[in-house]
Amino acid sequence: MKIMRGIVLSGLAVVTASAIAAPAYPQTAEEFYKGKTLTILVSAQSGSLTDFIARQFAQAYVKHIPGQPEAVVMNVVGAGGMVAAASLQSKQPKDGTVIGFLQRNNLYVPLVDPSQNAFDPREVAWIGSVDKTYYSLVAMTRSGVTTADDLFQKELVVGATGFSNENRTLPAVLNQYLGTKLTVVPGYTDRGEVYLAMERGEVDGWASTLDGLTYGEPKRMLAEDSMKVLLNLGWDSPEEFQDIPNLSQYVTDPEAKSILDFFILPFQAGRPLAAPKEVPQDRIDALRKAFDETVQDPEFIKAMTDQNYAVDPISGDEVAEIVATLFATPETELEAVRKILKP
Amino acid sequence: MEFLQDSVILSAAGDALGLILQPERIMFLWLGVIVGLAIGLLPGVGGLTGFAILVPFTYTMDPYSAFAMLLGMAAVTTTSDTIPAVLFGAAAQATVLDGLPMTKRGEAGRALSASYLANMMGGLIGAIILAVSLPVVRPFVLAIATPELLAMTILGIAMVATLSGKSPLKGLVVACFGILVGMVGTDTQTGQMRWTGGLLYLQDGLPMLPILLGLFALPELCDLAIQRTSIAQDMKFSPRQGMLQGIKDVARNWFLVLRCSSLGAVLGAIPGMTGSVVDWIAYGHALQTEKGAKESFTKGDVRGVIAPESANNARDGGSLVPMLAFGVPGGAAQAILLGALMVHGFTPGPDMLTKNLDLTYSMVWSIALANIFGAGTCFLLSGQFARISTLRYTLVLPIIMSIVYVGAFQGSRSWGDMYVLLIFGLIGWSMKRLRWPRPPLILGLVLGALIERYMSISFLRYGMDWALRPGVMVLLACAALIMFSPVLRLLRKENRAGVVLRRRPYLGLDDLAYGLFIAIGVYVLVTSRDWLFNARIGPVVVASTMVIAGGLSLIHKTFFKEVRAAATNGVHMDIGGDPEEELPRRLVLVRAARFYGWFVLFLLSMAVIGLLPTVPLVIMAFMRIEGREPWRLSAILAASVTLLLYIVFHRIIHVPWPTSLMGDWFPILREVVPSM
Repeated sequence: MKIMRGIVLSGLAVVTASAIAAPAYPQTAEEFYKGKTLTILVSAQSGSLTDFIARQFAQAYVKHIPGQPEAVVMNVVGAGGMVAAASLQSKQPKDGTVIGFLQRNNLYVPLVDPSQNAFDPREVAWIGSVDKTYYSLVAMTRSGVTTADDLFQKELVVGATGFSNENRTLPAVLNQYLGTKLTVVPGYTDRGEVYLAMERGEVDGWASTLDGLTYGEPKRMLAEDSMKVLLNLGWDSPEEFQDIPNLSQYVTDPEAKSILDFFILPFQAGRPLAAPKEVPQDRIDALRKAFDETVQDPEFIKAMTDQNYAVDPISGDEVAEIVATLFATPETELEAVRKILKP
Repeated sequence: MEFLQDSVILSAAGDALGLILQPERIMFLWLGVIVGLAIGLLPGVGGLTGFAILVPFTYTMDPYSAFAMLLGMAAVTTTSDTIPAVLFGAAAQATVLDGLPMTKRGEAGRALSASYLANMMGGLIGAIILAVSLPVVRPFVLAIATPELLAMTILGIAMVATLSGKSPLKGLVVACFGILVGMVGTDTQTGQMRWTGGLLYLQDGLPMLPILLGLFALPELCDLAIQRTSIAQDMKFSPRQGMLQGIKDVARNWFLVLRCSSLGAVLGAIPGMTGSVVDWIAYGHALQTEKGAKESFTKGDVRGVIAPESANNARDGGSLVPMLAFGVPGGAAQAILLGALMVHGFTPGPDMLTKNLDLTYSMVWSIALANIFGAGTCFLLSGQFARISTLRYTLVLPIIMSIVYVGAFQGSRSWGDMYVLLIFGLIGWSMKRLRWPRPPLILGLVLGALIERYMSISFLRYGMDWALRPGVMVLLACAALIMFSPVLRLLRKENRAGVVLRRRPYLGLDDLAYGLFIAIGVYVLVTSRDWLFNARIGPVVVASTMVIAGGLSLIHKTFFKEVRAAATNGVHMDIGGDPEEELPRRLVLVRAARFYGWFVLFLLSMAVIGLLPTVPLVIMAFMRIEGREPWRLSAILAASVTLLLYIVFHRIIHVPWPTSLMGDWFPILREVVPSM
């Protein structure tokens, strides 16, 4: 018993001593991260696509960080990623041992919804974003709406998930500013339910991410022509659907253009990573450098492509630029955006 | 042609059996089963977590072994969770209603073995139904559109009438309360925030887990603390006798097992029908159709254990239908399974029923074998498990309490979960004591959210025409029949004769509960006034129903009284149907306050020193103060439980713990002590 106490006490002494000693000499990022754990907060449910990407990323990422810390992925779910983002900004350690794998709506929701101000995207250090997101509007061929032009002539019932999800807001913007005749039916739990509804004829289309069209049922449906891509919801068309029209052919009104821009710009930062801004600059630099290396890492890229998922990164500075652009949006435009996002 | 089709399927099923019976695949299946059984014992760690833990290991395995392990795990989590339900009532499953009274009678061995056998049969029947229906299931699933799903959910909620026992109006009030609780959060159709009070925590709605643990587990533990005895005073059966009796029980009720398994498999195929309601619907079905059930259920009738348990495991088979046939995962856990399928190069959807039929059938076999392994293991051990029920309460209580607290925290891993657990713990205990049936609350909570979602889609898409679809009309007619059968029964002459007018109106202290529910209804009506119509219509309809039903029930209670034995009108639908307790009311309240006091103490300590360090502290304190247990025993128990929670939640699942004051003051401690 006495021996035990001795061990515990001396252990405590060592710990306290090193705690006091730690800030006394300047420490390189490598010395700091050596033997430590890097916790990555993921704002998505374990088992979701985002969680999968985060876990793959985490494994590759720590190999590029000097000192090679151990990676731990923690799922902090809630309020469309806002819980994780707010936690990162205010509650987590600010020494660089915790970073966040956030969602793109974290970039603009605090701006348009004052009740969501627990997170300020200008108050974190952005590390980078793993991919860009593209949306395309697809429709079942049987609906008779088979080209982008048809969207303005015929009605089309499209499914959507949550009210604030992009797959609901984008069609709403199209109706409002382009004059498409979409009836949006939100309330499906996930993309699977929407496709099931499409197959049984309950809805005839929806705004899908490009990734979502490259595998599984949607891929098959596109191949056998029972479903068609009508319109790319961006200013240019992605490689896969190069000959399908995009928004630039339909949007001329400057107001509509800037409103659409507000919704489309965050897609550039599809899955952004951030660290608390109080983290010492040399560690931020190390984290950014490691990010830039990871997204070039052939092993990581292969793991991603095996899941039909393309790495399409931007740097931390670029994410910060997007945030700055969004926050420079004039108030009148924000009001228009709010009308789409909020009832 | 059809014959040809059959032979293709049979040979695929045969090939698949050959594939799965390879020694190393069987070994992986076993491994999955062991993990699944362990997971089932801990509240808050479900199949979803199991998948998340196991999936990374499967990337390098061959697909048959991978899915044998994953499905083996998933198939048995609903098997071992019977132990906390039957032995302590610490679960929100229908099995509790009859399982716990059986345990109290000393029949835990019988209850456990019967439920494991029912589990196994249910799992097997579910697998058979899956196997037979898979090739033809696509058109069937495509024929079910949202209006039909809506009608099915309404049918489910009509079970409230049955699950309210002899107090249908009270049951309706409680169900409405459950629906309203489920409406807290962001409305999917309009984005309207409903009663979130600006809290991030409430935006996604209240998490189910702490509500269910609060409503069912805490009140049972509280009553254990009040009774201050072991759960069962003595054992009626030896382990062997208990097992034999369980076998006999299941054999005698084979038709019930068959019905409830089929029900479970069909309900399982509907997305959104979670495990927490399928068992209640099966229980309601048994209650309605079994002879004499209306008198003996909730008092320790073994059929009340068999029905929900067979439905429970059958559900797993059914829930694979949408995923295999359409590539549509029925929930987050299956989304992981779907991801794993794709990692191995399979495309879920029609291919699974043609090109990859052997893999599909190997999955069916895995489920079947896992049920045999899992339930078989538990069955053999049931007699040993049963002995736990005779342990001193000072040993059992602190352990289960800590596990329930940490389990509830998994709801959304936030402080809010602990408050929700506390609040619903108090609500649940009050309801139990004041004899308000709790099962309708679960139906309301789970199905209410589905109904509102399906209804909004149905109206948006089909207008009023949704109700005119033939399938919908049939289902709604059935729902009406179930819903109004208690009313019809009440209106019958012989039952009316049992009620007489009181000489003078009577209102007791207990009736405050009515006031509370009616007040909640009125609050809802007032606060929702300014909302968008579509966000308001649901809450307004439900709250109005709640106020009217509550008012009618209160008037009835104030002016009429029952003079005849309640037996003719059914049972009180809750645990401890008819309490035989003789403790004075004051003592009960003092001890209940003490029990919840321990919880509050736990929360305070958690805020100061963190969740995990609190566990051993509170266990030791409880055992020393409440039970005067020896230091040594207290220390060993406290250390074991803490170690278990530490390994599972900290090392394996990596739970983000809340920060504590000590950790804030001395950040260095955070690196040494987990969760501080």
